[in-house]
Amino acid sequence: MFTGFFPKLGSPQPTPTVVPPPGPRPNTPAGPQTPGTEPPAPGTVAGNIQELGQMTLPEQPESNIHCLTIVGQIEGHLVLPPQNKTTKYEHIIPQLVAVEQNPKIAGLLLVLNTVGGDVEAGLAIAEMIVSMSKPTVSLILGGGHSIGVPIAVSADYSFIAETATMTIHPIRLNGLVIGVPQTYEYLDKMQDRVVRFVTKHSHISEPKFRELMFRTGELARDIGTVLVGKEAVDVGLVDAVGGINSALEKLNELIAAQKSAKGPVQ
Amino acid sequence: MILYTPMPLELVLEGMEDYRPQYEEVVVRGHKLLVERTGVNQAKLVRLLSTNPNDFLDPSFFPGSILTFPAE
Repeated sequence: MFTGFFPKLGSPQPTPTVVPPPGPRPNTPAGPQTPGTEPPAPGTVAGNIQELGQMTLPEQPESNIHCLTIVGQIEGHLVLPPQNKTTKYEHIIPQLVAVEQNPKIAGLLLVLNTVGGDVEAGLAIAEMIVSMSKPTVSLILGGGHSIGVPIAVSADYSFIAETATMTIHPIRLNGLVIGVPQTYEYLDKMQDRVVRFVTKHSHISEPKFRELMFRTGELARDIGTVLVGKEAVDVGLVDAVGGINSALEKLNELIAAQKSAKGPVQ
Repeated sequence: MILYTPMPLELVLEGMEDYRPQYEEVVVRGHKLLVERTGVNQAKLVRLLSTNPNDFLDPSFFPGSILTFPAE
């Protein structure tokens, strides 16, 4: 519950449009609020909200594709400190459910510029995308590193911008102290999950992917490989080099193909 | 949690120990939200608590949105 919204003298806030009625202070609701009460009565905290502070676009003819952007760190089970830009997997997953279920949405465009993140959260998103029945196309701009790689290959077709990079390196344990021998095994298992997913959903072979993962001399702080644009296509990780036009063209093509396969009556 | 990232961990996890966000639950337009107070009458949306998948497509409920509560 929100408590203690004390009025501030000289507050920059505009005068509220909803005049709170006399009686109990609006910031201290008398009882527990039941979800689903709509619209909230003026005078309650909910009734006093003027705006949610987000830009709303003017009404446009509805697009039949949904664009999902994966940026920064993919945040998992721990909340990362605020200097990180994060993609919240707990919001992405129900969004993907809505995309799959909503009859108005015909396809999904995935735009990636990520530095990786939580293994579990990243794989969860990738598994969701790979199991969708609607056409999906991914586009890597800037970077699709580490756990961004399985997400990039999870789409039906993937594109990489000419200058975009993908870093492939081993998973290292962090934050925890390796104290028991099982930890190494555990880490290896986690890595195998990523390797298996990537090799299953792209054209790269497992020995090749592991070779890139453990290559020495390319990364200053680590072992691994950085693939730039076309290199990612050459090793079979990504399908093609391209930008937004090629990605949208491919997505529309896949949507049309799916429509004709299903027949005129769905 | 295993972080799989090429970014130096000291950068990612900097301030992790001191970062203790306080979350509160509010109901906005019939939707239950988890918010983090950022000012006297401002809060940042952390999470939408809903079982309706279509609610998650509503841009006003994207994580990071700022909610402003008017001063009395």
